[in-house]
Amino acid sequence: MRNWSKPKRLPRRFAPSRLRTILLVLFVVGSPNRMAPQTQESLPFVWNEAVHTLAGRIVATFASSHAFSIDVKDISQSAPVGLGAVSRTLADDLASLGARLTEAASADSQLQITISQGVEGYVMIAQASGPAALPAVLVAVANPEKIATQPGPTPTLVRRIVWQQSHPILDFAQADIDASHTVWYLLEPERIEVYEFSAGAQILHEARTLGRAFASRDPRGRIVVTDATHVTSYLAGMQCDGAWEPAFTIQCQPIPGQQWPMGTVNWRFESPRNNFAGNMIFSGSLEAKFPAFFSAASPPPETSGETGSRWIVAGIDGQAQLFSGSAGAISTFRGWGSDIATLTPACGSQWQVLASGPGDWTQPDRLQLYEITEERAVAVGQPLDVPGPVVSLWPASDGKSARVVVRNLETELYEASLVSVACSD
Amino acid sequence: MKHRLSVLLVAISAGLAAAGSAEPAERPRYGGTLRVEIGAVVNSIDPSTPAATPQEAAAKEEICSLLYERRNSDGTFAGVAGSGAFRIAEWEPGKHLMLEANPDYRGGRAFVDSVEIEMGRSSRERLLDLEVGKTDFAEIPPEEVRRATEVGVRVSTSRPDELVAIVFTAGRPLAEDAHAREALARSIDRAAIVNFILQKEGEAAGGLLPQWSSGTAFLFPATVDAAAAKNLWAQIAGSPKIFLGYDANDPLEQSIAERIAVNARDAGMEVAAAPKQGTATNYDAVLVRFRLSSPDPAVALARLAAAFAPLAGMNVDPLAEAAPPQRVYDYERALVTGYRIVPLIWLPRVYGLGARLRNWDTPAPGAAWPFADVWLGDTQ
Repeated sequence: MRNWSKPKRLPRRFAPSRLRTILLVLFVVGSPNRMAPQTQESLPFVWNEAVHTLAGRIVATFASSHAFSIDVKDISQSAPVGLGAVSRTLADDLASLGARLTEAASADSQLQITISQGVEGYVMIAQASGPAALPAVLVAVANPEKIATQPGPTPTLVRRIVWQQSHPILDFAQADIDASHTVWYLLEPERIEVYEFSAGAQILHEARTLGRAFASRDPRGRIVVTDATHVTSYLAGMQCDGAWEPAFTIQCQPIPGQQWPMGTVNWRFESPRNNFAGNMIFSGSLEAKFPAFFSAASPPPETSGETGSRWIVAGIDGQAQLFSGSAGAISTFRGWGSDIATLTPACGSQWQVLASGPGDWTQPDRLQLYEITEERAVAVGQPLDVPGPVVSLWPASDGKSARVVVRNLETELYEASLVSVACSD
Repeated sequence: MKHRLSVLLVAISAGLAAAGSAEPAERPRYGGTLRVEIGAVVNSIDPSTPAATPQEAAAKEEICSLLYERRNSDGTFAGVAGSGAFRIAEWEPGKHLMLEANPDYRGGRAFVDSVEIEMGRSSRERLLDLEVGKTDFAEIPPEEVRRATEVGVRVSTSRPDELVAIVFTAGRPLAEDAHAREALARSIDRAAIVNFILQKEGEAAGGLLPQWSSGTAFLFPATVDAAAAKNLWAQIAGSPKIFLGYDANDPLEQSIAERIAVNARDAGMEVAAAPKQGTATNYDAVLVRFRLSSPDPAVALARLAAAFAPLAGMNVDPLAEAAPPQRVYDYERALVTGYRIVPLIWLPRVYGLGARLRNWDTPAPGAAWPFADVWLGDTQ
């Protein structure tokens, strides 16, 4: 068993340079009874979004050299979130926008955050008292009842573990050679393992060492099964083409331009880093340069989305951004992790994206299915908790499921699993 | 013996179940006449004919909602009278209206056969008739809720959805004086109006939307500040007097106007409250009532602005129905900041319900009396 390096693929958002000059000084305070639930609970998606939007408005409205403290109260007395979580998330977001934390004693103004409720749902209101006093800033918390899609079956994520081992798995794939023979490929950081099964019994196990162009502390790889007898692996700047002739052979060569196949676009893998970069050419020669990202997803032809012109990229800054036929992102989704993949919808007709959660690799993770409607991402169904970080997530060849590798924190085994969506009433 | 014991247990269980529910579940009954008493005098039920008083306008709106199936996008009634749940059977303008159920109504025939509306009944008469069972439904002024419940009348109260406010009339010298407007606004003890005049059946209003609708009413303070009012008033030259007009047919408005005059006097100001005669522009300020036409804050605020901004001489931009909360708040704030419109209190709608009235559901703002949905219990 090798030691685990615990790479962090999710740094907090970088403060945009134009905001770094803002000297907003924050300190989180709260009366003990209000702030009692100090567990590290995370906010539901819609609350996370609202807090993020509120942070942006606060910075835009109250930007000054004043030192603020934050107090959060809930006058609706029914908000389904912990005030401590709201306060912490807001403080984090403000900090990421250029603010810095300090002691309460140095605060000369108080930022009062009030959670209220109207007929449209919850609203978060920021008021500054003291020298920075200005009109209130309001942000609505999206009402799940209002943004819910048409009534219908509820999608449920189902995870089926197909392989476990102690060595890291970067990706895996299955190919049916014929009616009775199945081959499993397991891509590891330095080799590919090949298992052949017949009638459920293992009849072959081979391993081939793969060349690599560079070493990475967070190696990533991808397997693409071309047909029953051909498979290609992408790994560390190399493309390795395997074939059964009749024995299994594999040839590796550097990938021109480090390009990996991802949907309709070839993205450039930024070695020795672990992320991608690329430009997208939309119709009309419009070119969009995407921010550095870990993974990307585009709607399948079956959905109402426009294939090829809409992309969500999970950026290295922890934000997932939606691009739709223009150079700039039209939406930013928070609470998403580094790995996303499109799934052909099993329930409904909208573009659905499976996303990992925003923790680091020391924490259990969760998978959440989102439905993308125009500019909005709506979490559908319940999240699927997994016993460790999701280290790899790629769409399976059938489009209906995803290949997910989880590092189980309890067993320390890598679990190769297929995650699919079941519809239930 | 065993069989008899089982029967006894079943009988006891049934009795306990009946005793535990004040209104045991029952399928709706068809038939009967729903007797309604209102205070307003409605002289025309033609939607295109202007009402003479706000009370007549409000009652006419309710009646037309029973007669017409649809509305246009601007809120006016569409189609023909009688396309709704009821159609006219007898009509004696200003006194009596008998409606009969429309069997062809698209929403399904009403449970009651007919609705009989008596007009011009005083609140005292309405309450008495509710008490003795001579009517099934009547509106009760909020200030009389306590008395109604004391005499055993069943009461249904909506969320506060009617605003009482002062509107300063554009062009009048005092109305154009920002110090005078703010002084009057700060002198008013809204809490006292709610507690003593309304008998706590209402809420003090600092904004133009209730808290349950926008969630932001708390951002508009409704506190009295007599000292500030006095200081502001002291900056006005001469010994001016604010003429405040109220609806002569509205006892509540009269009580509120007189209370405002008392508050103003405490702040060193002089306010002359008088029943309105002629146009509103004869007065520096007038009391107005505005019933929310929609629970949606943007829709309600846009209509309120359309109703009162011209009188106050304010030029306001349209407010989109889908306006986000920040826009609604900014818009509301702009309307009240200059004190040309001064919110005072929020009133609920209060209904007295007869003992045999079943399935009553208090209508939401903008919704009409749901007479097609009610039915009558044990007929007398």
